[in-house]
Amino acid sequence: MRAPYSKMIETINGLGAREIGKRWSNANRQVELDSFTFQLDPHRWRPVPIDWVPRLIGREEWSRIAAGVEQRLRAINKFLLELYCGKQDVVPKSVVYSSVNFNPALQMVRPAKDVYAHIYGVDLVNLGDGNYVVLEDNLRIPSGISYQLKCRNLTERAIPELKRPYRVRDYEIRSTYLRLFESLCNTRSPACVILTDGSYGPAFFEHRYLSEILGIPLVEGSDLFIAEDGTVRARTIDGDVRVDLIYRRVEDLELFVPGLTEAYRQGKVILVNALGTGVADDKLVYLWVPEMIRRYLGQEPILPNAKAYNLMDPKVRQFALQNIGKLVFKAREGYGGLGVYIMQDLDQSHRKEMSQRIIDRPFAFIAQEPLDFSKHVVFDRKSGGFQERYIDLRVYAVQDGEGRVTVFPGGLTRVARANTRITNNSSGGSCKPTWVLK
Amino acid sequence: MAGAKPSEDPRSVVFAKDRWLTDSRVYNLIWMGRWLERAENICRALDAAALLSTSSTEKGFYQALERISSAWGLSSKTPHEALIMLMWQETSSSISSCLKMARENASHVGPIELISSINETIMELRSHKEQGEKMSREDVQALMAKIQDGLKKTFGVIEVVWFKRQPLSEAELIRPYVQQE
Repeated sequence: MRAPYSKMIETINGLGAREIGKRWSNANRQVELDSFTFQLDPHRWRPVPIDWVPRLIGREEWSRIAAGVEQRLRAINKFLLELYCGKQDVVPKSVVYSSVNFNPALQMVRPAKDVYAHIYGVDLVNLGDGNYVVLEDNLRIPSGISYQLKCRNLTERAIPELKRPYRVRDYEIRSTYLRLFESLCNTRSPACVILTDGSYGPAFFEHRYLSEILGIPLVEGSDLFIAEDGTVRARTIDGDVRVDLIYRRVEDLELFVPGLTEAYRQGKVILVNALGTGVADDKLVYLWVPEMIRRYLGQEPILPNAKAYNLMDPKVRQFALQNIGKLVFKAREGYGGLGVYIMQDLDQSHRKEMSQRIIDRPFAFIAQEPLDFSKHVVFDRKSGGFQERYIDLRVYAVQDGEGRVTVFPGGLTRVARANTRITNNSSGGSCKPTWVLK
Repeated sequence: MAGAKPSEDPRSVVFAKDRWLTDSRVYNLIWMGRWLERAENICRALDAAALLSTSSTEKGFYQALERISSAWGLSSKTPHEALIMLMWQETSSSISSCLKMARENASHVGPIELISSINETIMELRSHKEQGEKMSREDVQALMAKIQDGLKKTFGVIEVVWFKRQPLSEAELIRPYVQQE
């Protein structure tokens, strides 16, 4: 047990398993009352499982993470601008053009203030001793910040004693988000909305929660329309309101608001994140992010990438096929744990099938080495003792129109189920509050 | 091409918290009200069955329940099954389902206090599901009183949040189909 945790363990032991169990039940009841849920399918909701033992991140460890995340986000934004509005030559053309998220219709369409990725979530794992590596970048619709906040608030309400011995860094996201929206709009009072795909999407809780804490309306596609002058309007019971900025939580804009893409291209509305950002979410483009940092920022990457292979290279592909049982394969356009194949957990027939898929479509996948990442304790209610589980860390950052980058202290710690390494909530993982020490 | 220009109209819509009643919100408010009313109606019917069951026996109460449920087109094999059907069954004519449907609408409309108050009633009802068929007439009456209290609280929240709202001002609106200067 690392030193900083000793006070926490003391507190937990001091309260005793019975008292903790009681608090735990109350806290779980609160989770359910607040409809703090994750959706498994349209008719099955699951209250988000929270492990109430916080993860601590030391000051120095955090400052490295924050600097590394900021660096990455800035470089990615510079890359996107070069890609769509300049001559980018960091990532090979064959890679960019084979990405399903590359959108040629957006060439020479400059986004507001030249920023594409405003809201960014990056998945990190700790290889021990505070050495973090980046697993993947989430730039399309990074979700989970509400889980991070909710987890923290619920824990601090349920077991306030845990926090007392520590000086934890406090933060809130409202002012950062509102400043982001204002900085993009050039106006002191833009009309902003959050566009949701409705309550059947898995992250609907987050859409509603953000709408509430940011104080901006949550709208569905049917609430918006494109007026004759090309601007975007919202239908309300009082009349129509012009919309300046849409914080979109959907990918297929045309499906929700026909004509929105054209309105964006004409500069009539601002989208967060901007259209075209998805290409940097691509699992293969990820391989070149360290190179982007060197080229665009003139710095060395602070957070290294996990070792990954480009299967479009015949030699590398040969190597991957020979070692298929030891690798992890990811579909380039996958997200949220979809399209991730951990080969050591799969049988011979699956491996054979995967080999064939790689031979047929080498440009559709990347390979990564499975990592031996760090574990953290979870409190087992039944036995009243502690158990170890794999954890990762998703950190959120925001880049606004004035060049400021804010990395929110902490992040969302996701905990895998016993004996697995997949931490996604959809795969039965849970989350943990994450505290950064001052 | 530059980014979006600031809109020229003299507005001060700063993140108009909870003030826009968009079409989808209105739709969900209407339906939420209907589902909550349905839940309340079933509660009242169960109450009435308890009060009016002519003989004072449990049997009389359950027979009354059976008549109520068949009047609503539910065919139960036993009087006890009628109680389950009216309270917990996953059909649109049980209190539990009506509340869940209302919660779905409420989640579109917000705020969190409204959703929590509906959740509280749902959880109260669920905690008695174990007892199910073993509930006596008094148990049912006591539970219905709780559910109705919960619903009153929910209607109170709706009243405060949604019916005391200021409409959007002229400055905030763009009247449709009016040529902008």
